Amino acid sequence: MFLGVYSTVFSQKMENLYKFVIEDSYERMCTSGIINKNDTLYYFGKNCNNKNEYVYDYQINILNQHIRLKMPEVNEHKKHESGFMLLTPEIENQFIVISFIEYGVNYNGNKDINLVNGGTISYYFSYSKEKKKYVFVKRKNYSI
Amino acid sequence: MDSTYYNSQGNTIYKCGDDPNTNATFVVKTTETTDQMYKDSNPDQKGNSNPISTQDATTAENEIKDGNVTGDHMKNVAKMESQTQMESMVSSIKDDGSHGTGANNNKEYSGDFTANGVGNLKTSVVGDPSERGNLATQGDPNFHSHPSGTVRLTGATALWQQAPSKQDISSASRKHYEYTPGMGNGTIYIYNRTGVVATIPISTFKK
Repeated sequence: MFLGVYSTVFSQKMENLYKFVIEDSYERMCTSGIINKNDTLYYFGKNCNNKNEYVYDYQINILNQHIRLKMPEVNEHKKHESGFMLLTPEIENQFIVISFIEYGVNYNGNKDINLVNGGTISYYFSYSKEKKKYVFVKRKNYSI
Repeated sequence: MDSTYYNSQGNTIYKCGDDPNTNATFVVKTTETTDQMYKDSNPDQKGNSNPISTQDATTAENEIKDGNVTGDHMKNVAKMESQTQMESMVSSIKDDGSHGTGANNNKEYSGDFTANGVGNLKTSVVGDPSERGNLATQGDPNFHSHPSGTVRLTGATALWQQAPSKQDISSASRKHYEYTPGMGNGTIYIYNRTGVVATIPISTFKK
């Protein structure tokens, strides 16, 4: 509710911050050579709907066809993918913090999957009086 | 000098002397490539391996088995801490490797090697592999564990990466080895800033 008030008051939707996080992380991995432009990255939420799909609390629109907003499918033929679980936004002091866990998504042989947690990336946004909206301030990497 | 030489499976391939306090331990370096070692990891967090060829590993192991512990093949062997120090490291970690959501199995244990074993022992906060969190302990320890803990989600199990992260390796010493016991897969990863140079089962050093 608190975050909803921020969205309403400043006419800035939380979806926009998520969109920034997703697109920035994708670009960062491309430019640093961790992935190439033909690779597909999968971003998914933590909550499951009644179809057992991991979904977001927000409606996020991404045009890049190499970014998919779903849990990647793994099976005996394609045993590994990279997945990023977006977490619920948090308030830390004056910051809105949006984090995602960086998972290796692996088929474990029983129509089940293992999500291997390598660490968390957190994006910090603070309110800019000048721009009258929340702007990106810093990114933190919490490796295990 | 008393010395014990292991292969990467943790089998003793040669031993001279048996004083655990002065015993130097050695292990033949890994042949696992980065893709093999980090096959389950997200590419943004995976570290790297610094492997030798299978041929070089086999040659080193055979030469040492014959009691030849000097020569060019010894560059393919990593010198670890003493038997006592390695055993102390393993026994200082209270993660029993049984996975699950227990607190002891979802935190990092770290410490430094001392003349008598290990010291400066620290533990991180308790984490959850499906939540945001920072498991790292403060400082620049000689060793830190990666937890065995797991949590069940719908249609999936979340768990912790076992091998050292990219950040672990980039911040490691250039001069000496650091150690990450992966409590979930029972493997000690031995690395410096060039990457993981050797692995050995944790069970090798369990009393």
